[in-house]
Amino acid sequence: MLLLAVIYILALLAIGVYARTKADNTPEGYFLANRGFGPLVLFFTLAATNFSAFTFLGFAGAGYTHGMGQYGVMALGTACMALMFYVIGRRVWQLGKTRGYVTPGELVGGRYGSRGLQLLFTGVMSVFTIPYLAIQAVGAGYILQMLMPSVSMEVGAIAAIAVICFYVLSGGMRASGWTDVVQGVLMIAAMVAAVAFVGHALGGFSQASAAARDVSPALFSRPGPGSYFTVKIWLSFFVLWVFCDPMFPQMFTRFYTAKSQRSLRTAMVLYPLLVSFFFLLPVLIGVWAHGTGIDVDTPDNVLLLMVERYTPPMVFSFVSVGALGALMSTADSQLLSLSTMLTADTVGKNVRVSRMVTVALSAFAVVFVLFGYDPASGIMGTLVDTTFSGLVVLAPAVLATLYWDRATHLGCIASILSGETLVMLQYVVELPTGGFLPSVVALLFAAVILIAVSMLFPGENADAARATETR
Amino acid sequence: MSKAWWLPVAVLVLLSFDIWNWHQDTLLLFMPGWMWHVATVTALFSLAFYLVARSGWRDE
Repeated sequence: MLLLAVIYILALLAIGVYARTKADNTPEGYFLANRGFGPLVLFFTLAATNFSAFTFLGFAGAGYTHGMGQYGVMALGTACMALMFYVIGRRVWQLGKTRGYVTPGELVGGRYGSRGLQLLFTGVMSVFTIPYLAIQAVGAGYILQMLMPSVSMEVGAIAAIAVICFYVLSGGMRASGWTDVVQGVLMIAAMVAAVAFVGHALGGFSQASAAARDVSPALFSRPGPGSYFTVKIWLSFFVLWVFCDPMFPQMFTRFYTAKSQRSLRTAMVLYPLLVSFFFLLPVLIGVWAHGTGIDVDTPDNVLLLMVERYTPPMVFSFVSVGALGALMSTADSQLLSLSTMLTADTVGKNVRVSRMVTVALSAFAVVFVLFGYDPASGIMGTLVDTTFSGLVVLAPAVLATLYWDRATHLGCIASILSGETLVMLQYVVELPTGGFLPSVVALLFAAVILIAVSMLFPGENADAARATETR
Repeated sequence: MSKAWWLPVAVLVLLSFDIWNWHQDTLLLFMPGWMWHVATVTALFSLAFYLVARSGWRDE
């Protein structure tokens, strides 16, 4: 059990050390791997960064709770989101290359010459990402504890943070990208192994599905158990993933790292293909659990419970390490993008300061773990619950910055502030949404405010022509 | 870029909302029929984006 985890961790550390030998200490080298990721590295780093423990374990849990519809609400929108590699990624890459941008805030604030907008944009992205980073650490601790019961969750979490911190400090974006390739391949192989072995143990895929359908036919249709998947919810999730995923700082920053537009094109083409089968696998296991009579106390544990019960110990270890890979590949990207933003957008592109911020963020995650902070409570809990809503509200400002000459910095600031206010209001008060997800209403609201304020207060927008010169 | 290449993308977006399949639960092999539809549409986005990349997306 322990051997696979040790090999995995040693491999990550080795990549971190190797990446350091290849990297220079320039800001572009550390923050963006010298904008040199080829098609395959960019594809894997975009996938591994976006597919977190939520994809690996959370989809199975949601499949167990809501049925097969979980696959549709996640896969369709995420696949279509790859078009944003063209719509947003291409222009971000062009502007980054010509103007030397390394953060999302620089691009949005730079268009209008607005330092306030730059700081606001970075602040919002950071506020909604830092709690997620801390929670990934807790998740890593639980997975390591399942692999090695003698190790406490806290020790496992701190070990995972230490490993991530080490290779991010060593090789920056280059180490993050290269480890993402390894972790991406591992994650996919582990999920395929999990479904193959569990399906075989249950008498074949058809038998496994038939048994679950006998117990709960509603799992196999929409709206599903509890009537969750209405057409409006289906539409809401589609819109949410298309506009929210590129707003994750760890995704947005990766657009800068492409070696050429060919890298972005290849990633755009391959992404939906991977989503089409990868997202299906955990949902199948979650639904199949109903036909086995297995006792599931927490839905998010259903995948590992099924794998533990129905596969040999070696496969269970492999799948657990795959889950760890999904989690760590997201966490390292979050750690690097956060430290890049919190440095470059405040004191400038200073690698040394960024490394100090990386250590500080890692220390914050350790404190979060050690003090046993309940992720579901308080300010942190609120931020985690509203992460997708909080980030999707940034999309109108980004799209307007890239495409709309008449957009103004006041419009963007008003859009972000009013959108985030609505997100928080929606969290504390039940506001009418017409059956759609609250985040989609907030997105629409932010877009309307941006257009209205930009038109009402045109102001000067001297940089518009330069910002759109690369179209 | 040629706008014509956006047509397959638009068609796939529309096909993503298969309201005619709602409440259907007939198993076809190990998945309900509508899930095969969803999986096919999801995978076909790759083909549509390939067409966009080949014919519409030029290096600038």
